[in-house]
Amino acid sequence: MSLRLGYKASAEQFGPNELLDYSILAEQCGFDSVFISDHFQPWRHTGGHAPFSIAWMGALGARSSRIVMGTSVLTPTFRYHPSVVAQAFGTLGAMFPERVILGVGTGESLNEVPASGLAWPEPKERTARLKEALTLIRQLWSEPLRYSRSTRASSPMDSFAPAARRRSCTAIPCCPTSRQGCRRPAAVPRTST
Amino acid sequence: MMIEMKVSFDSDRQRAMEDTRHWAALALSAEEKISVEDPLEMERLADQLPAERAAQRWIVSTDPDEHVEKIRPYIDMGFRHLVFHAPGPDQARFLNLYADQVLPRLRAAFG
Repeated sequence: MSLRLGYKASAEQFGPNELLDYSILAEQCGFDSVFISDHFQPWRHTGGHAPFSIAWMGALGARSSRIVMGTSVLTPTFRYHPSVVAQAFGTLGAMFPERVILGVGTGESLNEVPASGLAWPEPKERTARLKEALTLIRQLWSEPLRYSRSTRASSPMDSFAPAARRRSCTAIPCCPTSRQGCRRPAAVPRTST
Repeated sequence: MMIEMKVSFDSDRQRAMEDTRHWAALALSAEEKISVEDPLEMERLADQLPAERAAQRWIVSTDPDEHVEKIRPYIDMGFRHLVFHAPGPDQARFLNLYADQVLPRLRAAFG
C-alpha cells in the first residue's frame, strides 16, 4: 500500500465550523485523509468542544472531493446502538464511495456514561461488547435484507438484536483499536481520542 | 495498518512545547482517566501534571529531518497510514508548516 498521510481533526479542541475549515485546508495542503474523534463531552471544560462526528462527516464529505475520512475513534456499544452506527456509516459510504472508514474503540466513561446513564462495565465486558458490535455491523452491511422483531433483551449482551439492513447502505472498512493486543509506541495515546 | 501520531512540530521550540499543554489529559494513565466522567475533573487532573509530562506523549520537533527520523520507527513497524494530530490552537499554521516541510520528506523517504 502506498503511504497515506492524514490529518487528525481534534473535535475536543475546536467547534465544528472551524474544524471543517482546517480539514478542507488539510485537503488543499495535500493530506490524504481526515479523521475526527467522537466525543460526547470535551476533555477540558476550558476551551473544550465536542461536535458530533457523524453529522460533521456529512459536511466534510460534501465540502471535500478527494480525502478519505473516518473516526478515530468511535465507540459503537454504549451511547450508540451498533445497528445505528451501521446505518449511519452505511449512509456515509453510499454518499461518499471509497472515502469512509469507521474507526472504533472500547470507549471512555467521559463520553458513554453521561450520555446513556449506563453503568460503566469492566474492560473485559467492553471488549466483548465491541467484538459483538462489529459482528453485528458487518452482518448488517453484508447479509441479505431482512426484517426482524427483536425479543426483549435478557442481558446487556443480548441487547444487540439484529435489525433490518438498510437498502441504501454500503459496506465500508472497519478498523478496531484495542488497549490490549496492539503495539503501543511511547508517543502514541493508548486509545485514539 | 493505520496509526495516529501525536506530533508537535514548529520552527519555534517553545511554541512546540507549550502547544501540548491543552492535551495534558493524554498523559494521564488509563487508570487515572478511564473512570472520569466530568470534564472539569479531567481538566483538574490534567492541569496538575508538570509540563514535561504533558509533552511526553508527543513527538516534539523543530527540525524536519529529525522529525522524519522520529517517525521512521512507526513505518518500520508496518504502518502505512499515518494520521497526524497537532496539539496547538493554530491548526492552519501547523498544516502549512507540515505540508511544506514534513509531508514531502515523508513521501520521498517512505512513499
